[in-house]
Amino acid sequence: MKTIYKSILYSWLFISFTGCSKYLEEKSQDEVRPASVAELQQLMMGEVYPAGSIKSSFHAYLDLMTDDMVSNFKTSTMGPTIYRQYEGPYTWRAEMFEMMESALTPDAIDTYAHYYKRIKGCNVVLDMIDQVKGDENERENVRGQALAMRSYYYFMLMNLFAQPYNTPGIDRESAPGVELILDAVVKDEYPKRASMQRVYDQISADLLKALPLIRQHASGNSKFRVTTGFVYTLLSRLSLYQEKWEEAAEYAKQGLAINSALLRLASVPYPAVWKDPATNVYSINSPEAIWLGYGSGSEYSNMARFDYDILFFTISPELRSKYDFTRTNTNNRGDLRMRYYYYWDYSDYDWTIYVPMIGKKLGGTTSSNVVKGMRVAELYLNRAEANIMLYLKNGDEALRSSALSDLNFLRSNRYDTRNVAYTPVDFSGQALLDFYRDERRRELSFEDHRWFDLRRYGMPEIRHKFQSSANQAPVEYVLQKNDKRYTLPIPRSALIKNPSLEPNP
Amino acid sequence: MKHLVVFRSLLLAAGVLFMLSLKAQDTEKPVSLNLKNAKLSEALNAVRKNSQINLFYSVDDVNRFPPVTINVTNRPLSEVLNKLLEGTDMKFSVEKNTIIIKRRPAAENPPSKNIDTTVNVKGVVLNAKGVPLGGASVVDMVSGRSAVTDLSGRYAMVTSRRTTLKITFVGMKPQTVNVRAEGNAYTQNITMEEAPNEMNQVVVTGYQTIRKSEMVGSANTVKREDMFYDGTNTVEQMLQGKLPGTVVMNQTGMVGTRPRVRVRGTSTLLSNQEPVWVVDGIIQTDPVPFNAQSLNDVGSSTDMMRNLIGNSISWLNPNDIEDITVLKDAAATVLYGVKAANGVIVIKTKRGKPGGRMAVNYSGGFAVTEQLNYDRLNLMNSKERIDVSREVYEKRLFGATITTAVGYENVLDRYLNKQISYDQFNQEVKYLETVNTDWMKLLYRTPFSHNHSVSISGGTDRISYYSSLSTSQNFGTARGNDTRNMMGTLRLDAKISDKLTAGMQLNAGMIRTRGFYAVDPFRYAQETSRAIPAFDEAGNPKFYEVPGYNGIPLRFNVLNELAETGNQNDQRNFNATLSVNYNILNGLRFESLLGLGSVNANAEAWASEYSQHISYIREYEVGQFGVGSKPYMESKLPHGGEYNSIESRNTTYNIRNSLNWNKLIGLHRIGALAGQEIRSTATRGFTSNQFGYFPDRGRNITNPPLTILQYGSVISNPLYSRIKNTITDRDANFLSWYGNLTYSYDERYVVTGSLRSDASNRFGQDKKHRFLPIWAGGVRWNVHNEPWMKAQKVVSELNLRASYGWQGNVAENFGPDLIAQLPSSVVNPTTGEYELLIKSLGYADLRWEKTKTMNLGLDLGIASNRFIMSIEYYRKKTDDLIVYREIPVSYGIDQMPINGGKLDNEGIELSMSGTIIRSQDLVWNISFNTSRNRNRINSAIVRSEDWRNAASGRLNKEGYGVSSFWVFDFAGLNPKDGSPLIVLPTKGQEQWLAGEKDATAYMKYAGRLEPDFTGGFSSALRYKAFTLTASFNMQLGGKKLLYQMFTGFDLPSAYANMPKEFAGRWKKPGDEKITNIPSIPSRIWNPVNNQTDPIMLLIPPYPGYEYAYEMYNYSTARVVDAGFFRCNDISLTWNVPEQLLRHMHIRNLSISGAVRNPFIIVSKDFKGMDPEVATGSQPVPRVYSMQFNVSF
Repeated sequence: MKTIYKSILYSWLFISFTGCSKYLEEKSQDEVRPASVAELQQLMMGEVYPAGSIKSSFHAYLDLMTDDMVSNFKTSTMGPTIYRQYEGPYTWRAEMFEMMESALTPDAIDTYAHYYKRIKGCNVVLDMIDQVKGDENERENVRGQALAMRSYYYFMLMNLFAQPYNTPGIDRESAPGVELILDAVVKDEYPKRASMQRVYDQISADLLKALPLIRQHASGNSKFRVTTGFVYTLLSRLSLYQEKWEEAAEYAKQGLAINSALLRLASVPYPAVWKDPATNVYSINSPEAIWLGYGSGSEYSNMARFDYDILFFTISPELRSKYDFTRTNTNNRGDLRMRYYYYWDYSDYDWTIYVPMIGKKLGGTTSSNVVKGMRVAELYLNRAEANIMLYLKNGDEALRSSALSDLNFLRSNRYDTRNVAYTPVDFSGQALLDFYRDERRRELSFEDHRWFDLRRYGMPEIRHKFQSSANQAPVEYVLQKNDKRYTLPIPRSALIKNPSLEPNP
Repeated sequence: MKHLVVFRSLLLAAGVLFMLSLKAQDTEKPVSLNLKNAKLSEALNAVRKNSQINLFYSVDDVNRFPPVTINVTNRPLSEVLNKLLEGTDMKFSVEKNTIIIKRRPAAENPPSKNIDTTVNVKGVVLNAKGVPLGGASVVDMVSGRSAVTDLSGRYAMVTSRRTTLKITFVGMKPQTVNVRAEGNAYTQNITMEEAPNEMNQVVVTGYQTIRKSEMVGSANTVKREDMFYDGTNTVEQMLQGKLPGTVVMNQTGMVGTRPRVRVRGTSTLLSNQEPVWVVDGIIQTDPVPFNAQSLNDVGSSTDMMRNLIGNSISWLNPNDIEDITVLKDAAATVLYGVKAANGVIVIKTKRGKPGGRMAVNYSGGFAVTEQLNYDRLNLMNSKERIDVSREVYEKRLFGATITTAVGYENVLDRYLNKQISYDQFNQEVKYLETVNTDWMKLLYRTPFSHNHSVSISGGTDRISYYSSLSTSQNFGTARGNDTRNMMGTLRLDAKISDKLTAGMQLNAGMIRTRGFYAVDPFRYAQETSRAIPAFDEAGNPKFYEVPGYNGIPLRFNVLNELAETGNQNDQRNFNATLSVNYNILNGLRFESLLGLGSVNANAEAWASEYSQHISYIREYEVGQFGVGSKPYMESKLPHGGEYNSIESRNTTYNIRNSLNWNKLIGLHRIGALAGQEIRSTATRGFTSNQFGYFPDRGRNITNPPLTILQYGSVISNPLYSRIKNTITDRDANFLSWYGNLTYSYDERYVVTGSLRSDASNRFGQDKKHRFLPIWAGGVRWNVHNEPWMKAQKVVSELNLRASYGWQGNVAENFGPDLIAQLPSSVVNPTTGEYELLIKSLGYADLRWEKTKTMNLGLDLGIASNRFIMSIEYYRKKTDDLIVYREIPVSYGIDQMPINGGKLDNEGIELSMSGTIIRSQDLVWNISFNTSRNRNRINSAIVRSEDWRNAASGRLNKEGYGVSSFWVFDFAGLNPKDGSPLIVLPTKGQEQWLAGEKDATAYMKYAGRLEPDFTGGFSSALRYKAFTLTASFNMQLGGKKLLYQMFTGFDLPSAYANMPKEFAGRWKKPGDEKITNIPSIPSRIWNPVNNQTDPIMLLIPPYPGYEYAYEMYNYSTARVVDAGFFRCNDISLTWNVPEQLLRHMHIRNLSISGAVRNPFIIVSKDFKGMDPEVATGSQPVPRVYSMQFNVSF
């Protein structure tokens, strides 16, 4: 009996005082406490970069607000739903977000929250980056990516929810920008909107801080991450928007020095009926893709729910007329972008009219599944614009020819040059600027550039006709020149949660 | 028995014969002896040991005489023997070297006084019903000799002629009888009286066995005999209404599903609210891990599978249960740690009785479940339904007609298109008015269920055993819903030595439950128009068209759908327990418990390609389009069906060691317990959703095509995103220490305190707070033991109890560090990189959640506890409850956890029981319990802008209880069109602005979904061999919304049936004065935009239009009192009298007939429907049963 008792006692003591640490070692099937630079990089991929995530779009309605899209009326069972879903942005309503929400508009309507969710990812990574272990080179790479991405998101937010940088007579020191959250700690206070100047200063400072880090440590980054090209493109875009022409041209030049290749559309076989081109400008193997950023190929497809009929919303005839394209001339179709940048389908039951429906810059077989981001073409255009603006100011012919050469080089890669050589264009004065702006519109359509460009071109008047039911006369909505509504309303859902948040007028 | 005694005597004799031979002078060998009240055989044995001389005697012969007391030192052997045998009819002699003790020849026996002093007392001990009691102990108060009754209740012993016997038996009042014998034999039969309150002299908590007089916490016990079991009900249902403070709510009347159990209200908002189930000291684990997200996920296929898969105690055979105890307050549950906040239900199973005869018991029976019928469903018949459609046409109401495929709409459509003549039209409408398809009859049945259970138990004084084997087949009233199970158990208890005892238990069981997938027969029968025929003229199932994806019609017939879909759940259990109990010293005991449990659960749900469920995905009828056609190429699933499965393997082990010390010093009793426990659960599982399943082609799964055509482009098949395989691999380890200290003085004053601390391997916890302490303490005053209470005879028990407990909890998943999570697809298919997502940011400032529980109790027993009553009051306050606070969007997260919540639970419980009538032939026992719980949230928790949240009971609002809900304020009918009117604020009003954030600002508080007042009542009336029992259960104070009157804003679909009361709807202006039932929902002409619009009302926030008819569904007009009074069961039992059974070698036979759920009293608004089950679920059916119980 004694031995039994002893052995029980010993085993009890053994169980009680040994093996504890292993037994109580935290264990989880799918949870991790990020402790290395590699894990922070994975957090960047999951939380910061939108490519490939379930929510990869930020604002799949922005082009509805531009002159690139029109609404058509047709009777259909889906019609009332679709019209209700997109009426808000299309007619520039102050309550556009609430209208979309109550109409259950699919995806990408929580723009404001979505940007800040991604910014939180950057902030988390920046907060933790110095406390984790890992390779120093990798650490600086991750830090650079987080800084650059945060700048990018603030830049986008400013363009959406703050007044244009170049608004005549604006005092940027007092005009409201957006809420500037720079760390991941939630404080028991309601943040206020920082001034425009403050936010733009932060964007520039962070980008300039990121630039050397990325240049030095990020040589192996894929097109889905921040690269040197990304930082130069963003700097060039930022300078352009701020009308700092020399800088814009310089940064574009730096970016082009890294990669100046463009996809020659004529070299991609002309796609058959219903097919997408095998490769396109946002395909993963596209030579001109700098950053395969966000958005998805199905962004505007909801507006084209039913085949073989005219669409509820489609690209505007005005935009279509800008392309010098002849589908039937198989020898020289002209500007191939019309066929390669848009999704085409029959638009009636007769199967005779074959028209572009929505913008889509994805290749068919080598798809990356993102349709917006940064491309080399933009660098050519940015540099051309900067040079044209300077030329218009000081009349320097060298700048004009440089701009024309950028434009012609871009166009020569877009035209059907299989059998016929590209014919260069030549403009001067205001005509050059007008031509340039049309070229930018043609090239960068449906990549969220048009709305921002219209803002900085002086917020011109736009008219949208809209009809949602057979018995209702079409109404023409007008966005006046310099209209306040060129700045998006802060969504009510954000205002309710933050009493200190100042609404946009 | 007799043979055994003789055998024993011979054995002893033989042993003695082998001893050394004896010399004559040895009879004078000095012997010392000091014995008190020893049996004569023991005394002689002591002499043998002392003297080293062999004695030969018959144990039975010498033990006929009273025990002896002797104290001699160094006296000659002969003298000692003479002294011992003095007064007996025995003498000793030396024969062949052995001292032989035998009876004197009759002549030698002097007519001595000794004969006067002894008598053979025998008799039978019976209980009040006349049933013999085996194992009762009979003690001679004078000599201290004792006997134990055999299984037929007989005892025999030798006593002096004038003595007092004390008879004791567990659960009976001890009795004393005086022996006044004259002759040699004396018969004393004893009838024991039951002592109701002393039935539970101990309370088994699973960790401790607490003497009832020292119990400070709140616990209630119900015995198996007091619970009704007919083979079709679950353990939870057996408990309904039996225990105060324990609410059992049936969710549906299907078999194989588990009801919800709540102990003392809801005390947590974000985690599991079910109590902990404990069987014989082992905490039971759910076969499928708890998933907080699926809490509100009612109606999904996984939910259905989860419900049918069974819970942690499905493996238990109800016939093996001895009793069930619910532990409610902090003092009672403290040793279970944090997880016991929802209460603990402790089940004790039967075990063999030591020293008992082997008993074989069979119980079994059959049950017939009543078929559901339209009487209890309050639905329109064909004629009434056709009337609605006719009114739509005759009034030319605007709106979309969903279908013209069936019903009046179909006939009208053909008439208007001139396909049939007016006569044909009238003829067909007439036919439809009389179709009256009885969906209930087609989908439901009157099933016959049966159950059998055999148990064998018994034991010797060293070892006892109990084993049982049971099987049952239980058929639900819905065709296709059934459950079968088979269970076995074996329990052994061994007394290895005086100090060491051990127990072993093995359980194994398998359960198979079949249910439904993709089609719910009850919902179908309830919602479908009776004007739709189920069969065509030829008697084949008649298919009709229902809208498919993109509106393309698809053929549907419910019988086909049921045949082509299925849901089957299998569960296999194995449990083993070993317990060891070692008495180290007097009063110090070491206990060890080892438990191992394994559950294997597998659930599968499928649909074949012939079902409409799959046609919907395929987008055309099976076989309609072939290879090469456009629909075939566009179809996501051109062949095969769907197959979903959940597989879960669960292994739990439990090691518990404790030291228990008890000491009685004078009037002071001290008890101490210290223990340590390890509990580990490993869950491995696999969940899979597959498409391309062919149940009839070798159960093959053929993958759907990789690419399909869409809008002309070839895209990857989107169905693949729904094909998902998930592996579950979780280990939950716990390490705990616990202790308890109890001090009581003179059985009058008791003070006790307990402590427990847990640590676990949960991920992401705050290391600082790893060991969670919990403590509780209490005091008790046994007033009835006070000297000044001894004089009176009325109050037999009176005690006051008070306890207080403190419990800290750190909410799961919120540590000071950031926690990242692997997404469901770890590799991003676009970027090809590994990803991590943020699960929760680090929250360094979170404090413990603190729950303080107070319990006050009073127990009163009157007239030797013939009537007993207890009252308890409790208050549970949770402070610093971790809740979510909404924060500005710019922080990038929607909400963050803060210590902001406060939740109060307060309640009172009363239970009473007593024997109203007690006579030889007639005994009437009743018991009654009731409890009231008030639950209140004392801080704003999550604000919600959504009125649907407010109407669903999920909104938590300060000052209101959990499950409170709000509805629209119905203001009558619009005199113009009979549409419902609702009281609503106008835009810009203060109420409107408040309503933008919180819908409750403009809605009306309707009450709580959960009842706050519950009660149970049981009665048992015995007249001679017949016993009539009945039990009732009521739940009051809950409110519910009636079933939805309108499914949309448009004209009613021809498929849908409507509530019968809709026949009394608004039909013409003026009707609004006599009815509250709105008109047929339709659209109204809007001259402004020249179109028809559904009737909508403006609600905040912008642009909150809501359909008026939808709002009516959630309006004050539809709120009803969900209180009910249900008769759970009535049964009549006949205990076949013993004299009829004796010749068949049957000890006991009882036959009972019962009806479960015979009636229910509810608010008349329910029109006979069952308010207990969730709206839209199958009501609890009525079950008639016969049960037999035979023991041999």
